[in-house]
Formats: sequence, structure tokens, C-alpha cells
Amino acid sequence: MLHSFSDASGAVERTFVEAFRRDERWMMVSSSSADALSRAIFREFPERFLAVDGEERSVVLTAAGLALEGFLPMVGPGSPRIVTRAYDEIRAAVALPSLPVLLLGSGGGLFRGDLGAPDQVVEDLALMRTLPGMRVFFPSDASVLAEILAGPHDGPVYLRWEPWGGDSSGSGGTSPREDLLAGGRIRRPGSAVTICTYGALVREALRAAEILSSQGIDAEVIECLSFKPLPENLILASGRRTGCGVVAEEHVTEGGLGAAVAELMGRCYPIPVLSVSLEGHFGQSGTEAELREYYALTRQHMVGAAVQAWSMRRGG
Amino acid sequence: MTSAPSAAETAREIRKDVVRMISLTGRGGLGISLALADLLTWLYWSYLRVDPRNPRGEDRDRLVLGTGAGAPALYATLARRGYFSREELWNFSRLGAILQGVPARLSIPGVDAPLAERGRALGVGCGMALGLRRKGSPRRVVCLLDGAAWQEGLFWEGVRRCGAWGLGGVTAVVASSSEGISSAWSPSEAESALIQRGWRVLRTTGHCVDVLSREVEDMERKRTSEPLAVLAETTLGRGVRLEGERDERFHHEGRPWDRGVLGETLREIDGKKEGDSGAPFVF
Repeated sequence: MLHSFSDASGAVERTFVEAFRRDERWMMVSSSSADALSRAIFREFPERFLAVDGEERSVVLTAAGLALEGFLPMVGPGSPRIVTRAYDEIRAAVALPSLPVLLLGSGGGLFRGDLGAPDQVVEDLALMRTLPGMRVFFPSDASVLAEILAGPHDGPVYLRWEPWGGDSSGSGGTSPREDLLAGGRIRRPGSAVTICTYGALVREALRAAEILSSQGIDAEVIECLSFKPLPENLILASGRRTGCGVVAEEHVTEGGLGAAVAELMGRCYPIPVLSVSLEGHFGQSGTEAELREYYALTRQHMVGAAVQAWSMRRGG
Repeated sequence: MTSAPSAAETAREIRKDVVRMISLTGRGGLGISLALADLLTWLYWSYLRVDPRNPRGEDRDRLVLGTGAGAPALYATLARRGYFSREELWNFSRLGAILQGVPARLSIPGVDAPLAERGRALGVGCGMALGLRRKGSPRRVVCLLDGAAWQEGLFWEGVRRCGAWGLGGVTAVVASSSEGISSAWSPSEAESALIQRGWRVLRTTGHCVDVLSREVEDMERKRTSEPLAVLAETTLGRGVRLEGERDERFHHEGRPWDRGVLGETLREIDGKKEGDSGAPFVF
């Protein structure tokens, strides 16, 4: 279980270090230096790492001040609950004046906290999505992360760290840059139902697609890399081909990717879109497998939702 | 040929503009805005190194506003200092106006930071001062706060951090009423708390520009790495006899003032007694 921006190979830390080397405006502000990424930046650029030993709110304010002076501050990664603890500061001091502050959210989702509900921020996407001007990404590997860090730096960005060990290119052989510009990548092409997801659930979705295939339903799996802006063209094109969809995510049903996709489809191409998500629940303690089973976020649940959506499609 | 107006005259004109702005819409903090006029005059005509023709210039001192209710005073000051036309003041807080109710964005010439209330100003100012230090700039960051800051944990975090990091470029100007800083903090307690956290502290009046200039200059003769706190005793509604919370000028809730009330208030700021005939006021 990864609590912070790092991976076993060290590629993630190297990506950040490389970004710092390329653009000297990058600074890191964090309330703790205990995680691997903070240590890596501090080791390489001690004068560009600021340990703000206080509340998350102070961390965000310090970052806003640095951004006002032309720097590119990244906040976190030692503050996993930055979104909930410093929401008002993010809103008033960063989003309203549209400052280029990068928020490293390592506490989003269900499987980040052994401690249970308080540490599992399952509403982070809804909070960040609704802030005007805030962009939200799901970097799933170091190469996507590198593209996000390359810019443009013209406003605030929230990252929900979602590594899952997939290949760094889509099924069409596209580059990470192209994938990020498109907002996502097709992991498995299909024609009967669109399964849209991100992060750790991509693997589950691919397995669900295999099961569906054995039942004669050819599922397309889209991995979203960007949440806001939503990869509208990618999702619409897929929805037009398949005529129905499922969105699976580690987030409450309200305000997450499922809601965003349903809004898009309702507006542009009404088709049934079902959600596999946390329906009105906070999390709780448990292992990853237990939690997934308990909260109905497994491949079997995706298969069930896909079959249901498929039977609801027009002319189906 | 007329000589340049004195600081007291400038502050009086700022007060009158504040009253005009607030009278037009019935919105904005009258008491605190009138209280801040002398401090802002000192800051913008004496303490801060600024160039209104180049409001984003690197070589300028910065100001972070920590009281939203005091926004009319900042706007009136910036207009008089030449950042934008005084005409803008009469659209204060109207739909589409540059001068929104509070400076939340960075679109107003002369506004260096978004409004940072409830002790946040020191956090933002701390980040700016760190940025300036990293750029090798000697420029200052002034955080203008009201007495509400004393009760905020974020304010004290900012105090601790500026002191610990030796941010001598930070000046916190705290306007507090003379009745005591707050129910929880007496002025001397606040002073010793700041000194303990590595600050220099000046307790002074917030209503005499000459005294402020002289005392702060004395204090800063030697440049140190200690941030400076100016604890300025101010009176809410300075220049106008406000009858406390009952004063009807506090209770307009978005309705413009009666012209008679406006005229009386302006005459009072000018030091003319009620009943003096005086010329009809003009904007």
C-alpha cells in the first residue's frame, strides 16, 4: 500500500528531482519530511524544501505566498489530508487568485488508510472538482507525472496519486504526452459497453472485461488520467460506439468521475451510465481486498453493472 | 501653486472617500476602514517603497491585507496614491466593478495578494518573504491585520515561523482598539508573546503618521533578521463620532445612505461642527 508519491523502483522520486532540475521555480512545502519523496527532494535541493512544521493550512498559505512571488510550489506530500484540512485556504488563497500551486494528494481513495475512515478521503475529487479553475489529474505512473510537471503552470492543480503498475502507454501505442492531452487512454478497445475508471481499479476493470468477453459482451476500458478537464471527446466517442457505460471509482458516488460522466452524457448523448462507487459511505479499517469486497468495488460488481447497463441501452 | 498635502490631510481625504464609497452602496466596514486611514497613509506615503506606475515591479514592497472589512480604506488609499482613478471608487462592490467588496483576486492594480483574513495574512506574507529572500531581494512584506488576528491559531503559527526563519523582511501591522487587544490578550501579553518568538515589537499610536514614521525608523535603523510587529492603537470609526452598534450608519445592509447623513459625516471629518453651512459636498 503506497501512502505517498513514490514507487518501488524510485522512478517517481527521480521524476520529481528531474522536474526540479529543469525548472528552478519548483519548491516543495510540506508539513512533514518523513516520506520518501520529501527526503529525496531535501537531499538534492535542501534550499528548495520547506518543512512547515505546523498545520496543513499554514503549508498552503506559505505555498500561496511563494506562488505570488513567481515560484511553483508543490504542497504535500507529507500532508495526506491537505484537501480536507486546508479546504478554505486552498479556496481563498490558491484557487480564487488562480495561483500555480500543485497539491499532491496522497490521501485520496479508500485503500490509503489502515486507520480507517478519517484517513480515507473518499470525497476529495468532489471537493477539488467544484473549485473553479482547479485542474485534477490521476497520474498513474512516472511518465504521466513527468508530463504533468512539465506544465503549463497557469493555475492550481490537484493530483490524486493513483499508481497501479500498468504499462505507460495506451493500447494504440500512444505516448504519455498524447494520453495526457487526450485526458486518458483506452486500455482495452471494445464495442458493447464502456468501463471508465482510474488508478488501482483499472486492473479490476480489465479483469471484468475478460469475464464480460466470455459472456459475449465486448467491453472497452478507459483509464482516465485527467478528471478536470474531463476527457470529454474520449468518453463521448466511446459512449457513442457502445451505447452504455459503467464508471468505477474509489470515491463517493456524488461528485466523482461517475457523476461527471453522467453529466456529460446527459448533456451530449444520453445513454445509461451506472456507477460502481461508495454509495453514501465513509470507509473503515480493513485490508484492501476486504474493503473492496465490502464496498462492492470488485470486478464482479463491475461485471454486474456492465450487464445491467448493457441491457438498459437503447434498442438493447 | 499648492504645496503637497500633509499626511493628516491625506488621511482625512481617504476617510472622506471611504465614507462616500460606503454611503453609495451601504456596504463595507465603516469603523475599521476609518480606523486604518492613518496607518495606510503612513504605509503608502512613507514606509512602503512602491511605484504606482509600475504596480507589478519586482523592486517594490508588498502588502497583504488581513481584514476584509477594511477593503474600502485600502481602495481609497490606492486610488489617492495613483494606482487607479478615484472614479473607480464610486463603483465599489457593484456588479462587474474592478473594486469588488474585498480584493479576492489579483486584478486590482496595487493589490499584491488576495485578501487573507483571520490571521492568514501572516502565512501568505511568510511565503512571499521566503520567495523574496530566495530571489535575493531586500524588499519588505507588510501584513496589515486587525485585532481579530490575536485569537487565530494561524496567526500564531505565522508569528512562530517568521521568527524562527528570521524573516526580517516581514512587518506585521496590527490595528487594535485601545480598549485592549482582545478579551484574551492584553497589549503587554501580546508584546511579550511576540518577543519570545523572535520579533521586535513597537507599541505605538495608529493615528499619527509622524510618530509612526519616526518610531519605526528608529526601530529599523539597524537591519536585523527579526521581523517587526507594529502594534498600533486605533479607534474604530476614527474621525467620526459613531454611536456604537446603534449607529444607523452601520445598519444599511446594502441600501445607500441618506444624502443628509453623508453630508453631515463628511463635514464632521473635515472638523466642521454640525450646522456649519459649508459648500454642498461634491464627489
